[in-house]
Amino acid sequence: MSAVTLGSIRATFATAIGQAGYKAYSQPLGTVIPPGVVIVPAEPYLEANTLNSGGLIWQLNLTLIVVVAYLDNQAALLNLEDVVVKVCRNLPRGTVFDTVGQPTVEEVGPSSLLTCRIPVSIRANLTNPA
Amino acid sequence: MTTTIITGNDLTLTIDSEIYAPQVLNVELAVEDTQATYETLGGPAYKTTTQPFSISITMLSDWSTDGGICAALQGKALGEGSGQTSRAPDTAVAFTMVQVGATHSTTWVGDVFPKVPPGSGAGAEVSEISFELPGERGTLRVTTAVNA
Repeated sequence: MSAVTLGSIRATFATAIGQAGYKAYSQPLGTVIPPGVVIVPAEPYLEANTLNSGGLIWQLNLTLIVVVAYLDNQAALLNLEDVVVKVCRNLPRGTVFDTVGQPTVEEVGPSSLLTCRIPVSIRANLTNPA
Repeated sequence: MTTTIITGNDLTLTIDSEIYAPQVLNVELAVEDTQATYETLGGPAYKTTTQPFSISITMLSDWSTDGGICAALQGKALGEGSGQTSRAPDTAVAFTMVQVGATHSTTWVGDVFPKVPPGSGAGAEVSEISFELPGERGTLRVTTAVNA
């Protein structure tokens, strides 16, 4: 397990989602252009559960928020399902995920979005900050 | 005395010169004396004949990882491929456990026999495996010293 940074892990997820054909945001943003996936820290964000973790060997918990435009009920749901399946099939190896949350309509600014949340976790050996 | 708190973060585990702490969730080294009790006319008399020990490990499975503990132990316990080359289940490998406290550190050093770790998987759950490595009798050394 080579040492990485938290930012590079989120970037790895963003790249993998990008390879699925969707825009990914590796950090929470004020504006989201659907369809896309926003990567946000989950609660708890980090867990040290192996020996000698020392604050550097972590289980990293993230939530992938899948977002599509909510214009038509049926089309939006079909679109959301496509994004979810493609994203899940392209997650980096070693990613742990087992559930996809219920689709929910959310208002972000002037836009209505159909969203669902995918909790994921991955283990990482972090680089000691300089 | 004051309360001492020690966590797994204070512990490292090395087997056959490889540090496996990042993969191990918990480890327990136990010495279980074989002690005979003789009921003499003058009361009980005790004799410890042997002091076998073992290490119990619960870890995140790392089969299919180059340099992983699972493959390393399997290579020694069962050998590689149909020819079972390098099979040496009766040749113990060295281990070291170090627990670093506030002022002192305790080091356990000894030899354990390699065993094939279990392989498992359940749905989307992280594969955790537990197994025991029996110690080679007479090799265990425990020292507590002031931190360097």
